[in-house]
Amino acid sequence: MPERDDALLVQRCLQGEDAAFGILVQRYQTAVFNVALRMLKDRYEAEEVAQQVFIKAYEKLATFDERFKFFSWIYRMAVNTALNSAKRSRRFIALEAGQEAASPGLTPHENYEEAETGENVQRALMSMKPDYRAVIILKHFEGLSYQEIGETLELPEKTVKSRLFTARQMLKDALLKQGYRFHD
Amino acid sequence: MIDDKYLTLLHGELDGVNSPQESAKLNAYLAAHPEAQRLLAELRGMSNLLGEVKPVEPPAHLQHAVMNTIAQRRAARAADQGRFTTFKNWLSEIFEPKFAFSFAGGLAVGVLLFALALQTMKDKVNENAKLFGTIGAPQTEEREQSRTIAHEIARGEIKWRHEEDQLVAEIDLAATEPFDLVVLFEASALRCKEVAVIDGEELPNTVLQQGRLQLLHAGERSYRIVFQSNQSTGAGARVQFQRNGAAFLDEVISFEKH
Repeated sequence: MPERDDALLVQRCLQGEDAAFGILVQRYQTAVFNVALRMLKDRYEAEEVAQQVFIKAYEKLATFDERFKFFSWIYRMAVNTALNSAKRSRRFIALEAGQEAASPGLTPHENYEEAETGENVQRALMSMKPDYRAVIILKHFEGLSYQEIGETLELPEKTVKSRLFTARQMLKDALLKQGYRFHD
Repeated sequence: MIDDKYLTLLHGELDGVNSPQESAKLNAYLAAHPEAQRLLAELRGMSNLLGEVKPVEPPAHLQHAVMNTIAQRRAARAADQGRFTTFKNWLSEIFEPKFAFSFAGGLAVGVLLFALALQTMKDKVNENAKLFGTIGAPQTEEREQSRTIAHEIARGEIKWRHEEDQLVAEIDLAATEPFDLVVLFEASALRCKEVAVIDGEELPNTVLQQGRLQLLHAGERSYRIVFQSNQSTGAGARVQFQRNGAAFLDEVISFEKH
């Protein structure tokens, strides 16, 4: 039960056991880094954001409300910190070629195709407003439910649904413009 | 135009949250509405495409960097608290009425001396700036510049040069005790692109924040740090060697284009 486990780790950390926080970082670093990367597109900024998120989480751990899920809390920080970072820098630098790690077990051609898909999807995501981008990232890349997205973004479930439906339409249109076809 | 009610069911079907009754209702609607069928097919196709995008591995040093920063901040806070207690005790002693006049007099003399020292330092810096055109390392005709480090804790060399629009610093160090190697740079002018240990060892605990790169140095190592320059004229950075947050060595390196 990872949620209960997270709560226990938070407790241990609040009692002064830093190693417990290390486990939380290890558990959520991929998710936090990827949320930031998909929000910002820039690997270095995403790394900075991920660091800031975990440090902020550690420093504010005493304010964490245990009625909520730890991952919703950390995702919320990731989205908000990434949004602030984007506002501050107002720059989106393209992921440089070869920066995304190649997937093991794939041929170079398959790796190339996978990287190309990733870049095209990212380009389409960046054409959307950050609020819409965030729901797509949380739903399709992080696999959160409507309720979890609502907790993360502090939105009613109804708003999550309507925002997600609009975001999907926008993303689909952006990908269609790139030449993707999704039906026979 | 698809009815909102069915649009919700359509997205629900895509997300796998519809009940059997809702799915049946949607299927009946789809059978009579080809545009809804088409939309569902497109959304499914897009969802599959998004599923093909694999998560990117975070940098290997991320966890170490976070835990290192947390440990440093905690140590700094503990030190601050200790200093504050000492300062508080000292103040309470000073503000005994019998010491008040001597404290005020001492403070006034101190402020005066500090202002004089500051002015002298400013004059000296301006003089250097006039001579060299920049504050920091003297310019040479060669593309690569260097500075020798000879300190009781650290010895070695800092070399820096332009490579097209990149700025490369190489730092060779041999240290008798571990210390923090800190590079401060203008984030608006430079972007840290690469940090590596030249002989191929793993990078020690490293923190990269806006305008600040920090790593824990120990023993003998050489580092290569590459910055991407956003300015055509060049930019500056400071290399500091720190212990417990205090710099025991501070070098300004300026990347001037020749």
